[in-house]
Amino acid sequence: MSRGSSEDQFGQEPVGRIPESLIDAALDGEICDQMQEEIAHALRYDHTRRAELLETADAVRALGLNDIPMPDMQCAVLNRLDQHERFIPRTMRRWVRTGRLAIAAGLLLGLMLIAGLQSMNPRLATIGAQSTPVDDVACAVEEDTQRVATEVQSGVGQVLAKLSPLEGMLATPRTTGTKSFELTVNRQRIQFTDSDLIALSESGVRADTLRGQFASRRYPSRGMSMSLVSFSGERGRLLPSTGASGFVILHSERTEPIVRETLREERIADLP
Amino acid sequence: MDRATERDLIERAIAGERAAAGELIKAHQRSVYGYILRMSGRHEMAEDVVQEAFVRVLANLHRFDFRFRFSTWLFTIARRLYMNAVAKSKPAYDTDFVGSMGGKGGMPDASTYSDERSVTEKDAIQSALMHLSVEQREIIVLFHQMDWPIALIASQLDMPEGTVKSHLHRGRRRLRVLFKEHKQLASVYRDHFGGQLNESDEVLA
Repeated sequence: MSRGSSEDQFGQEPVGRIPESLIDAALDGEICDQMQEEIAHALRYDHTRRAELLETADAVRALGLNDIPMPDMQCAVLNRLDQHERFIPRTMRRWVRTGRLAIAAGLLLGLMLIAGLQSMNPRLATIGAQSTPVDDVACAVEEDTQRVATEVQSGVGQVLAKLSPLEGMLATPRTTGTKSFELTVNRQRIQFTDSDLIALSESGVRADTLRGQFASRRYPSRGMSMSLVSFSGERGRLLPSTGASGFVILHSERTEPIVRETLREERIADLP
Repeated sequence: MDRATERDLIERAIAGERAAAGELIKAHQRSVYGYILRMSGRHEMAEDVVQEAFVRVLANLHRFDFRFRFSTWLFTIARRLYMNAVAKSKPAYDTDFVGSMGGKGGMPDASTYSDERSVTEKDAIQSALMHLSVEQREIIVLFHQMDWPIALIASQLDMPEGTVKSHLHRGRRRLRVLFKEHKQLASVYRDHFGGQLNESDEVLA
């Protein structure tokens, strides 16, 4: 038991007063039984400390749990846990566990199956756009080509069927064996004579194809005579005459002075 | 509850036995509820926090380490939930906040005790506790109400034992003075207003 100021922790304890630190240690339960008895003995003479200790004990007693009104939370907590399926019968738990394992195993097997299928046949198990092999492209091109060829053949057949009435007219032109001339003449309008019309008719040109006003004039050229025929005054046609061998019809867009003449093999087609 | 009984209950609860979980709740709800109530001073908050703590603990019971006490684990979770709840809903006039701002050694003015909670002796202790600093209040409640040893308090609050003792001693002295004043105030109210105020106080409580 300390009564001197030298043992007083706070240095403010009057002489004869029990140090507060000792009371604290006693309340903390950190002193032995013998010391407790000494403190209890000393408290008989230290009324201030005794009163303080009684007040402290009173406050500590008021902290007791028994004075606290408390709701029973057992049901509320268990009900909340039931919502999370925390407490279900053991058999049910076993079934739930087995079911979860079965689902997991099924998913795993499914994935393994897909992986195996993909390794064997990549196109079978591939999801989404697939790459096209070159062989497939070649086959597709060949098929498309055959299909288009068939369609074109069919279309051509239909066109030929429609053109069949003109078969004779589309016959291969016959050769005349004459030379043709291309030349430009002066702007001179000459009336065809009857002999010119006859010669034209004999050359194979039907007279009904000669429309409107026309005119011709003969020009001597290298031993041949030529006739110019104008249609509607816009275009001219030169009909070179080779005597009794017939006529060749040439085209002349404009009537100008003679600028050139060419000589070439000419075929004459039957006019429609 | 001894450790063997506690272990048995925990193992049965882990196995899915509802009754065992109920026993665990029944055995520990009062101490945890008392701790949160003393810390917060509010029944609703204490009830919410303790319920949530039990739900979390029991839902994760399979993770429990049998080297430790169930009560300590439950307390740790409840304390964390309480801290979160306080952080979310801390009002500007909270006495914890005022106490922490005003320093730990300062004594509140006597006029501040005249709130509605101090009109009965039953609530005098709660009112006195609310005027302590958070550390002092928590350590006093853990030591005197939950009977935790100093070493356990120090480890749970992550404080040196000397600091825990210092808070305990100072808080206990302040609590003694405050409790005495609140009781006197309560007796004055009782003498002047009789049972009327006590009834209204029951409602408030």
